Amino acid sequence: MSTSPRLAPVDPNARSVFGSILAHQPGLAAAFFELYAEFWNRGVLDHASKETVRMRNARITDCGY
Amino acid sequence: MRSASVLGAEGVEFTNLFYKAKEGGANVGVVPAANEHLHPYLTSLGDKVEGACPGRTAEVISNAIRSALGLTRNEIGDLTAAESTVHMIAEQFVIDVHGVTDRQFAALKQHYDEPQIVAMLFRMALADGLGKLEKVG
Repeated sequence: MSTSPRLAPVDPNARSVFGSILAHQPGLAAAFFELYAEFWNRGVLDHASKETVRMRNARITDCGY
Repeated sequence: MRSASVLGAEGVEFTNLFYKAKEGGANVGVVPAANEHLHPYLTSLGDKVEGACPGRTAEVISNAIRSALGLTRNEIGDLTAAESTVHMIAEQFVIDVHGVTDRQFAALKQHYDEPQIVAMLFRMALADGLGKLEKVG
């Protein structure tokens, strides 16, 4: 199941989810969230269309997010 | 013109719709021209991910994914056992990510530590997403 990562989080008290796994690579995490913020805050598509695509993609790929 | 409305780029000719996200290479992929503002962020992320992947694995992953998608790729020669495991998982990542088995992942862990695996999975996600974008565009 895609929402149950096989990798352990950096923080042993944290749940094993995308964010806690990404903490293994803080530089990559920072670069990813800069890109992600730019994607959501600017562009030629309105926010609702982006969210609709995101939700549809999550459903098709069995992603819990 | 193809798929322009899907990408929110009405009126943009197909030939101008994409441009290489990284100079001289197909390893990172392409970005819709209408979303040019994402380019520096994507390049920054792509460079960091490539740098964090151990040895030749960034190239191995790119090759595996581009091959699975039927896109052009570079030849990199014989793979080590560790690289073969990465190659196999990258191929499965494209075909059906849920098909990556516990056994395959355990093999990956025998060769690489967790930060390295995170970097390689990031590389797979970027190559898969951008490769598919290139494919359907």
